[in-house]
Amino acid sequence: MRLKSEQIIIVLIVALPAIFAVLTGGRFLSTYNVSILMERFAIFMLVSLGGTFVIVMGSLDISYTGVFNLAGYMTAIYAAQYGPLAIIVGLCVGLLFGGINGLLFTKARIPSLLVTLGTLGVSQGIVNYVGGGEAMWGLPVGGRLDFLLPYIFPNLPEKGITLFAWAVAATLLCFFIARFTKFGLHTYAIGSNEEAARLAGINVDRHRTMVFVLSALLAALAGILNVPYAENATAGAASGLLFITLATIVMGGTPLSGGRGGPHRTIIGVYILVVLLDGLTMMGVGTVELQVIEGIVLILAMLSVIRGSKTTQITT
Amino acid sequence: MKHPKNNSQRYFPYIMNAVLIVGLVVIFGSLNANYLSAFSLRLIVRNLAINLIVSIGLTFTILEGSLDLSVAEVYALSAITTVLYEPIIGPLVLVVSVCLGLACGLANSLIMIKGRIPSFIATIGTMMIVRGIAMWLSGGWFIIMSAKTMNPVFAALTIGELIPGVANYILWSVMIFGISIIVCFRTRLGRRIYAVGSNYTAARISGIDIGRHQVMAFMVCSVLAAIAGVLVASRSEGASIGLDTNILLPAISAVVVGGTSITGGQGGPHRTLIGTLALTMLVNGLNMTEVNIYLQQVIYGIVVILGIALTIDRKKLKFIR
Repeated sequence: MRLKSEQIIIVLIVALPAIFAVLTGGRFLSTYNVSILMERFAIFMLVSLGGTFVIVMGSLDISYTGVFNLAGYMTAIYAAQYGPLAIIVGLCVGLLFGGINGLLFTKARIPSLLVTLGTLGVSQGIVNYVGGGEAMWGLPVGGRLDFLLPYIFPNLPEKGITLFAWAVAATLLCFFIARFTKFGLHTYAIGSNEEAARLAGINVDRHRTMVFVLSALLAALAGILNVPYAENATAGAASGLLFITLATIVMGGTPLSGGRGGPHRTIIGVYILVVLLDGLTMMGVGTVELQVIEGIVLILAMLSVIRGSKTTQITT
Repeated sequence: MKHPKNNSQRYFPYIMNAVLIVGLVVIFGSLNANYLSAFSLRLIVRNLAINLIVSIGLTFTILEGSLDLSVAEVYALSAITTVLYEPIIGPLVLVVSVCLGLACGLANSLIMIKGRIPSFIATIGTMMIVRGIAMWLSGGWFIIMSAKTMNPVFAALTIGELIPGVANYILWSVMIFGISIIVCFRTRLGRRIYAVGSNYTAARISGIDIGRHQVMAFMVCSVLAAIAGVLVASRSEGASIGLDTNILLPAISAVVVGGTSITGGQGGPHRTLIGTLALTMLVNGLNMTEVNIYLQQVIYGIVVILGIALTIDRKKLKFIR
């Protein structure tokens, strides 16, 4: 089963762009569309990285879209007064919500899905409240945060390329953390066997809180970077990404049961999803149909990965 | 039926809700003299009625130990089909909606059971699919119907007043509440749903067909959400995909605040009634004291967390994930 899904993934990676290239008469691989693909990849990747750590640990964090929106919006507001220093506000939002998530999860002992469902409502409510009706239309930020996305590649003047560079850097960092640090090792240990991790002397509660903080910080970073990229801040900037990111993480090969997978696997999931959605859009599939397809992809992703994993009882 | 360790644990949700309701009456009553006026109370009952139907449905899946996150979308889709097809087939839209609910519940539970996927993930998948269908059918618009041109039988069923001054959707709510109480406490189905929720392994060993009861619980949940959708479309004379935004979190909050444990097997529709009442009174109070609608979302988030923290049965969760 394991080997089979690996093979399917390799085939998908090669075949999907090839199929779309043929079906769209080569337009799919045009420079313009590849740059679009890279931008979308960057956004999805930045949003999915934090969640990957939490899922490797065996928990779930669905508050990231709220944190993304709130961090982006707050940064945009404060950028008007304090300029570059405003990103500190955005990162503090991440720190705060990550801390709240982690503490409610470990100290109040509430399942992480429900904790983060609650904090999702809280963070999204705050950004809606702060923004009022304006937030729906977007808060223009001018060029105040453009220093985050400098034109590092003179020959490629697109902001999206710099965003892609950010995503690559963040992914490499996360991969390094996951694979080569004690922090990463402990995350995998807790995910594969909590009791064993505890007996091995890992401070499980503290580590979990830290992973939730990391997740929220990454979500906040994505939210902040999205502001200069989109050139405005809206209250619902990331809301459409809420559940599809779960699909990218799981599809890549990080099962919800925890202990396996990691940021490097999420690259695969994000790649397949971005290619699929972009290719379908180019073929003229509407947003409504895409939504249905996203739902089906999510279920299929879960089916392909969860089968044969260690969960015995299927409940919340 | 159940044998709680002690009475304080058993009565805790009631005490908590009583304190909450009394507190709300005192706070909002002093802030706004009209809080306890007949008009305000009628408003509370009106708003309570339809939310209660959705929350009771959700209670069944939570009792059984799962979570259905697709209720809001089923509710919106059912409202949309009601507006679209009521002019053509009249009161038969109720049948359409019930079938819709049955199909969604069946899909949810089969994906969960056959695919061995946790229920909240399976229902997120169907939620996205149902939402797509609802968008497609409504074209993303707010579509309207009029009480004046409504099929008379359909109008009588939903917004007519069998008892003068009490719209029939309130009677629907009362009836559904009554039936759900009977199902929960006087039938084998209800008893077994509790058994599955309170101890999955024990239920399986004692020969209960777990899958069947999970399917039933999910079907009840989706059908009730669909019926609520019909009633809300008829009451507000229109529907849109936007109906889904303010249902899921309030419904989950109502269930857990009422004292039905998210871990399953504890609680029931009677507690959900109390939870829904407390939350409806809270929302009504917030509206009457002109609290920003977005702040209410924040308050809901906090209420969900508090409700779960206070009612969850931690003994059942060896590991909290």
